[in-house]
Amino acid sequence: MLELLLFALVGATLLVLHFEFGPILIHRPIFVGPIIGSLVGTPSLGFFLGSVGEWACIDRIPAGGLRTPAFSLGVVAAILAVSHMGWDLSTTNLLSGGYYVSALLVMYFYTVIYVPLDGGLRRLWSIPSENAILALERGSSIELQVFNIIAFLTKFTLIWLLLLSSPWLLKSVVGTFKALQLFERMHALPWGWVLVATGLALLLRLPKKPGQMGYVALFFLGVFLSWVL
Amino acid sequence: MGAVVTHLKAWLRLMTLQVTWSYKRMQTIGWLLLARSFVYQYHPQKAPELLRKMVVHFNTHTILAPILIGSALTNVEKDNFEGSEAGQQLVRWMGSFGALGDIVYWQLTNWNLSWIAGSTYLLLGHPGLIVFASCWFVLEVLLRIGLFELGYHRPDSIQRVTQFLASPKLRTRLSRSGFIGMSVVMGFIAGEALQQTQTSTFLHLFTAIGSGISVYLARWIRFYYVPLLLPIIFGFLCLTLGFL
Repeated sequence: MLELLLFALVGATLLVLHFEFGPILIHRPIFVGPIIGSLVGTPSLGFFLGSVGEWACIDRIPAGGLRTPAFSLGVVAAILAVSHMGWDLSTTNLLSGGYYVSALLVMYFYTVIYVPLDGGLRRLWSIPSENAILALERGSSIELQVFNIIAFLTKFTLIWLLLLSSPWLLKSVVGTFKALQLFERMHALPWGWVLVATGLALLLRLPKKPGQMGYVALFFLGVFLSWVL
Repeated sequence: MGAVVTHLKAWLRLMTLQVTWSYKRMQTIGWLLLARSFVYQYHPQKAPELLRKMVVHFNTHTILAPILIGSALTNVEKDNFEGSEAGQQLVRWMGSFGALGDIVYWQLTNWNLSWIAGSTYLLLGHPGLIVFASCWFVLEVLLRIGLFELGYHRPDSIQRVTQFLASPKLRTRLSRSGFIGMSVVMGFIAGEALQQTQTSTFLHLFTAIGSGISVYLARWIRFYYVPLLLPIIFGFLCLTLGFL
């Protein structure tokens, strides 16, 4: 439990680099996946989950205040959940179908659930913002300083608590699969196609332009290189 | 010494500009908190009045906000600083900086950084990636500090920075390198993942069909999450229905 608390703290520290500090691009799934994965002893799983998260959302940018799914949070939550379950951490077992599917579902859940929570806080911050400005007009700036600290700590704590809850969600998922006797079947699943599908979907989402199919061809070149190298 | 401490506070508050973001005031609180230390440093007697005049609706991209804020505060040391000119400077540039920052940061830099990070992991493993991430962290922090000081001491540099970042040649090259790099690296990682999944050829084939359907759905009906789950669901259905 102590390990989970500490790992979740590290995870939350990386994740606040999305908005609350920076932003700094190392909050992206492609970074936090392997970093947290190496911390808990599953760098390969971290890298693959981070890759999936990265390609699923790299073109979903928060331009103009647009809300984007929290794939980085989902990736970290999934990795921490897997680590806390105490699964066999050798690469082959960890990446077999049932385990990977379970981690993917947990990742997807936290990716989605964070959006309304964060949106709610953004609406809530309108109140102390107005109070701080009113206080400023009266000559006091204490509210301004305190609000900054409280906002940071609130968001950090929310992220940390979400990460702490992930092992229990994973247990529920695995428990359901096992109760329905699905887990044994899922071991054979070719989960690797998730990365193929996610990557191709990203490339085909790009705006139509003359070189677009060229990027798809380069994708298959990359697949070919992975086989020969 | 006082000025040094003021600048140090500003550098830290630059990093937390977005933390109090709300739909109503956006980055206004972050801006006021940052400006506060300067106003109290140079005009302690009339600081509350100046800060009142500096309340403007402010929102821009956080990577370019430092140079804009620096230029807004550039006259704060002068005796005739009135406060309102700072807000006017922010309002004048924040829209175009927001758009420019979105393109340069979230698209061009992000795409390139993603494939470089993926390649770093593939070549050097997680120790290499951790070192790279640490260096990138320091780089982004120093960049923001540098932009702030540039805006503060050389406010006329805003034009040059804008022209540089808006340069079509820069954007085309970064865009191309980002897409090419991502395409190849994604393919490589996908290939690695396929090799690691151990199952029958026929189940590979059926799941490939499911992947194709998910790609089609994502492309044409813009449901981006389907590729995450549909290939697995399709493969699982094939197992369950007894095809294999």
